Amino acid sequence: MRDVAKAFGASRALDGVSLDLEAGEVLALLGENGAGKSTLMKILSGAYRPDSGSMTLGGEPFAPAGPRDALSRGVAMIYQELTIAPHLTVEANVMLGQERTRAGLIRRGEHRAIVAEALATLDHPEMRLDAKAGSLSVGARQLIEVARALVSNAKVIVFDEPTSSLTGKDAARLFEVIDRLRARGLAIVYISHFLEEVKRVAQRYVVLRDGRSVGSGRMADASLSEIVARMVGRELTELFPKIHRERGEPVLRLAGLSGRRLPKEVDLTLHRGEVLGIAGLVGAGRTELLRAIFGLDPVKSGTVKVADATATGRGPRGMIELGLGMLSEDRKGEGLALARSIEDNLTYSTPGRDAHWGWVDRKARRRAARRWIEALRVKASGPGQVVGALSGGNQQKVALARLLHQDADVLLLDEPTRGIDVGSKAEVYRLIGELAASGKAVLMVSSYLPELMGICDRVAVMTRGGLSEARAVEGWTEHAIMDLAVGLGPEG
Amino acid sequence: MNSNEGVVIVGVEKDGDFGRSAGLRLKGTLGWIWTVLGPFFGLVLIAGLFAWLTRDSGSFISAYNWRTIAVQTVIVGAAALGMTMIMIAGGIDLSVGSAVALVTVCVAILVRDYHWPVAAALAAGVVLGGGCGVLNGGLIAGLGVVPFIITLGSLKVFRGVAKWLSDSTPVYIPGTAKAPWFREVMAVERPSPDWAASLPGKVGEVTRDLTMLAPGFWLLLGLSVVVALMLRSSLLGRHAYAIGSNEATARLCGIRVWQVKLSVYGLAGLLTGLAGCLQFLFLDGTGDPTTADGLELQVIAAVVIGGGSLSGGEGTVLGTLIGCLIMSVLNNGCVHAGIPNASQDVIIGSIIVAAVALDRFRRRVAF
Repeated sequence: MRDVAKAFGASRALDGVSLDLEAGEVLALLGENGAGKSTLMKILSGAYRPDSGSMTLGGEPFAPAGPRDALSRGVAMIYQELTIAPHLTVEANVMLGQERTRAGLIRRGEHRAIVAEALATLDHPEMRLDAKAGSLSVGARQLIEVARALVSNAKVIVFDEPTSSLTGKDAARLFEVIDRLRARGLAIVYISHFLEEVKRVAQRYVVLRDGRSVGSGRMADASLSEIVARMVGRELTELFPKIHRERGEPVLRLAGLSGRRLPKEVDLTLHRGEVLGIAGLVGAGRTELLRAIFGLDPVKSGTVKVADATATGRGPRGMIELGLGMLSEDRKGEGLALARSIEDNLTYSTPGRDAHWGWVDRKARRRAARRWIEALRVKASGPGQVVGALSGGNQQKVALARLLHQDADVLLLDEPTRGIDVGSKAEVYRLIGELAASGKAVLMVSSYLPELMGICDRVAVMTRGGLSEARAVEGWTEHAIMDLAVGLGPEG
Repeated sequence: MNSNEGVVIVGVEKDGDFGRSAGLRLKGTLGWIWTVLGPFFGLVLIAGLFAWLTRDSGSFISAYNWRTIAVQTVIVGAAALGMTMIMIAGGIDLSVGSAVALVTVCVAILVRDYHWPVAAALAAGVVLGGGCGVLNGGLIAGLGVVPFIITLGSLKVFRGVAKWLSDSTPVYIPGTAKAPWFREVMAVERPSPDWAASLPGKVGEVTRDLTMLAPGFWLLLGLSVVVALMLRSSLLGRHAYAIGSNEATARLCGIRVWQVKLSVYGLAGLLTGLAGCLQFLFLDGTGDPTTADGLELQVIAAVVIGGGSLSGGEGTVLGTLIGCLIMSVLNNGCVHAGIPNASQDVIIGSIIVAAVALDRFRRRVAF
């Protein structure tokens, strides 16, 4: 791949990245969340078209028209979210989309032979061809995907975060499978956040940051801490205004809080007048932690205390009454009702206000909506405008304004600046600072380290469901946070 | 593949804010006009078509015929008001027709066997409809099974109970039980009051025609205003829209989703119960366990033609009323135009699909 670039609207996801991949090697593609890894691989697999740049495959120009075209040319992608039809058998899943037929009928005998051979190649001949895919473990389902790629005669296989949902044993088996594929002369791209496993499977690495390639080399020659330094190496900008504030009494206390799967045994104390950041990788359990606190997901064990009242398992309504407010990371899927107006979205969590006996006081609501639109400088035609018609940054301001209108004391913010432009980001940072200065408590999850370092008073790191001790931000370096997040331990 | 190798495309600056918001406002207004007037134009178009087809006899556009259409709209309309609420909240109710039949049977049995006054039996019928709705809503919210399946089940159950209670034969109430107002509620032709008779000229003519409309129709209009107000400015209405638009958001904001669903199905059930009572009156006091078969599909079609969405979050009372009128005009017009029964079905089916397809196309263009 040569000088590949891709822009989405005003943000440039890729800015001239080049990549060489040889047969019989595993290349690790590294970088923080949002560095451009997924975009690059989507271009390779035909899901996106590059704005500029070129690709060659086996000496010939390679410009796939779509994922199907890329697959037929020998580039297969194995995604984080498995693409398995749970109701079909192993055999049917492997052959899905590449069925061998005679006169319109499926040749099952041939199918079985092909699938059995692929599974033998992967050293897993014990898998039953007639088992329903949905009854298998995640690791076994992943094997189905790999087998599917083998049957399609793939020359290049891309693994996108393959171990994020695997157990340690399944992961070890997957590494053996990858070794075998490499030995057969396939070229493999391996994307992962976990550096130990990268060290285990890959021979070479490329580090992406902000859509550029910032380093590459042989895995054997590089120390992990050197790679981490390349992943994070950034300067803090003037984006983050520091507003003076005093830490007050504790307002939210978690003791041994565990969810059904994530988080695990989390202890935390949040004070008034502070911004506490939670760093960690996608999938570490940060969102699950906020959801468990807010009562959106069930709590398996442990307690949540707001002020001095035990509030475990009270559900969102009860939490809102206790003064908590939550901003969802998934603005479209959960955060906002996109088809409804700004005014409606602002007042959903405060049904009692601006209403009498169950009937809405439209004037009062409209006034309130106007006030927040003005205060947060939301660019909209008026309180009645449909939220879906606003830009991402303005949608986010509406979602935040709901918490402000609710006058929440404790704000749980999940990725408050995701998908919004730099100008809106600066405004959100200033707003968070002002809220803390006015005595409110902010618990904020972010994948963007510079913003955590820039606006938080304390930071804790989440790894595989567990939360580290929260330390003053001055005691952290981005490097140390990253080390902890990828599971290297505090020494690095 | 682009040939301009190595060239990086930089994002284009957005329009100025002023132009953007003014443009959006205009688009919003146009969208609103289209939403409300689109079905209305459809109604006018269809009515005009039938008027032209029957221009020789003129029977279709007579005041008498329009009063007939109005009466025919009442029962579908009452049930459709409830269905509008349910579909706005992202649900559906397939049991409407069966619930109507069950209500007619129960009302008739209360009058015939238990000698209740008709008015009391009708009130009980409305409450029974509400009970059916609460049962549906409770099962949907409690079991977490999709509304389609739950109400498919209650469609069979309600119909079965109606047949069981009536021994599968129509239940007639004695003529002595019928109060003077009994026939009038759903009558097509009723005497105009004295004060209207003395009004002169065109004004008098129109007033007389209007006062001859069945009281059931005025009841429907009154309820429509109440439901429209409720959807527009009560918390329940707002929350129904919120749940239909994005249930996860509603939950995040602490809205008690199951309570809202139960209330919506309960209120809609009351309206279905009323539809059942009106059907009982329309059948001249008969409790018929086989009546209103397939009514639910007419009702759903009316809501969808009026801009409601099967995926929730959309729909208005005005649109639904126009949708009901379109259905009635189609049924009535086909008869007047002498179109054979088989062709009627094909025409009505095609028009439903065309109307909704046009509406979705309009939405794609608007966003």
